[in-house]
Amino acid sequence: MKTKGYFALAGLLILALISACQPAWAIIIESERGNVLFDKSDFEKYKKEFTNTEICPGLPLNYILYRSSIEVVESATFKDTAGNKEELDWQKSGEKVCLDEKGKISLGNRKLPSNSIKIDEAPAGDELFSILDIAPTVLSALGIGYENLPGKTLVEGQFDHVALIFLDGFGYIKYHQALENGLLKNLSQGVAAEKAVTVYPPRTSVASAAILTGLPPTENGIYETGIRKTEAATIFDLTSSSGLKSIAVEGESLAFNLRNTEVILSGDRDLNGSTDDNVFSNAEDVIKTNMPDLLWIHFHGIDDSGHSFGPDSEQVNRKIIEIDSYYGKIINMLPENTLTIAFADHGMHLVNEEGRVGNHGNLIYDDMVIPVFVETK
Amino acid sequence: MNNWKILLISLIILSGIAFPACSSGPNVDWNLKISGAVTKSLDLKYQDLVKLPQTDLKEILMDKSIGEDETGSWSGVKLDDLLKQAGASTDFTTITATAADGYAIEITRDELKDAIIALKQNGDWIQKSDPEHGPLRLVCPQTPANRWVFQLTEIQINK
Repeated sequence: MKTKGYFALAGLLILALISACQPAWAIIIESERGNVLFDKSDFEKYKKEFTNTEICPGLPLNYILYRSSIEVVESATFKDTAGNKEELDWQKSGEKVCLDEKGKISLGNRKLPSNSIKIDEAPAGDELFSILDIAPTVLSALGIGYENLPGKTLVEGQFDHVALIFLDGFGYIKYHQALENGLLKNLSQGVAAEKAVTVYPPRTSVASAAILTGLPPTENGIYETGIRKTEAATIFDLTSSSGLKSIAVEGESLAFNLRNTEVILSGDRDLNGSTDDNVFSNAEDVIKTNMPDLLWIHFHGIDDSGHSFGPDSEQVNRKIIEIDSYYGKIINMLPENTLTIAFADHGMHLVNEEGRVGNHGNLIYDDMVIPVFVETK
Repeated sequence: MNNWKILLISLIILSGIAFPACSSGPNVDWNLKISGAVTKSLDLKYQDLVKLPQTDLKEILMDKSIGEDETGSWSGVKLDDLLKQAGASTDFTTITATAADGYAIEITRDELKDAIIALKQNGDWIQKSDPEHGPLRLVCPQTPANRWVFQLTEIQINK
């Protein structure tokens, strides 16, 4: 018995020694916001939050940067103590840069210098709003109380109705190009387009959850595509519990599950290859016959065309013109004393992937910076 | 002689247990509704679907928007058979497929060619091999996998 006890004690000691001998590591992340020291304990903490291993077996560096309050990266310079140095253009490479549990940074199979990273942030402007500002704006406009939301309200005052118009994939860069090229007749008239930042990863379900809850992914639990519902309260939950009515006019499917609201799906019933005309038609019916306190209208076409033909394609421009026209008609139909907030969930950048010419998901200006249009009637 | 008798009785008892277990599928409490533009709404239990004629789809490409595409085989009940049974309107344009967690998608009629309500994937009951995507999955071989609604609970027929 005594011998067994000694063996057990020795085993425990060996285990303790092994864990104590695990090499400690730390990486300095330098940016305009100051220096952040990221170490193994941070890695373990973030790994529990971000469990998706499709991008990296460890953690995407983008997630670490985003959690370090860096939202839009232009380039990054990697250095080590041996004097090695390498700079990466983030648009080309950022999405695939990974950090493993040993503190080693890699791009695909290639190791990068891993002692410090200097981040050059893209100049996104000083007055940067957030996608998290939409929820408090909606709730405040409808006179619904809320607590502990990090965003701020974009307009003061109360309204009889709020209309949310979701312009999937219409990033700020695309908005600005469309404006300069004269494609917008309505989204530029009497509307202030605020420049805002979305959440990481810039994907529809993640951004939808942030819009609906007013909370970042770390708090609402939606940090990747495929997680379809949140435990956090949504604007539809709070609208419903306040005795108000909401309707959501969606495209052919739900990118994110909507509860406590009446959902109207808009499949391509006329088989013309687009659901935007069906969304508009359903929204028109709702506004004319059954306008709720909160109306959600989701146009998917800019994003769909961007994936198929690229963000700078003629097909995307045609979609922008079409959806801008629907926007104008909707604004005209909406009743008096309505607050309209039109917004994108993410932007898009050119890629060379099988079956895709455009995509989003990187911590870059093209994907992360979005317009938010606020209009009162 | 006694030993033979014992063996025979044992075999009879074993077949009584094994045959139903092998043919009736896993014990799952799950219902599938067929509703909307139909003459008779259906509320089918999982075991009802197990008993209906099964169709095999082989070497079907699953075109996924996230992750690697996969090729596999699927078995289940033809959607057309269920639509006939429910008396679905002959001029329906789309169906709305809804999952247990509330996810829903509207799918056009032409995308439903050869569609089945799958109970098995690669020869195994989905409920056993991949319960997070089971027990029923709408498999539409002519479309990308975002239309292959898993944990399927309802199919609504739209005119």
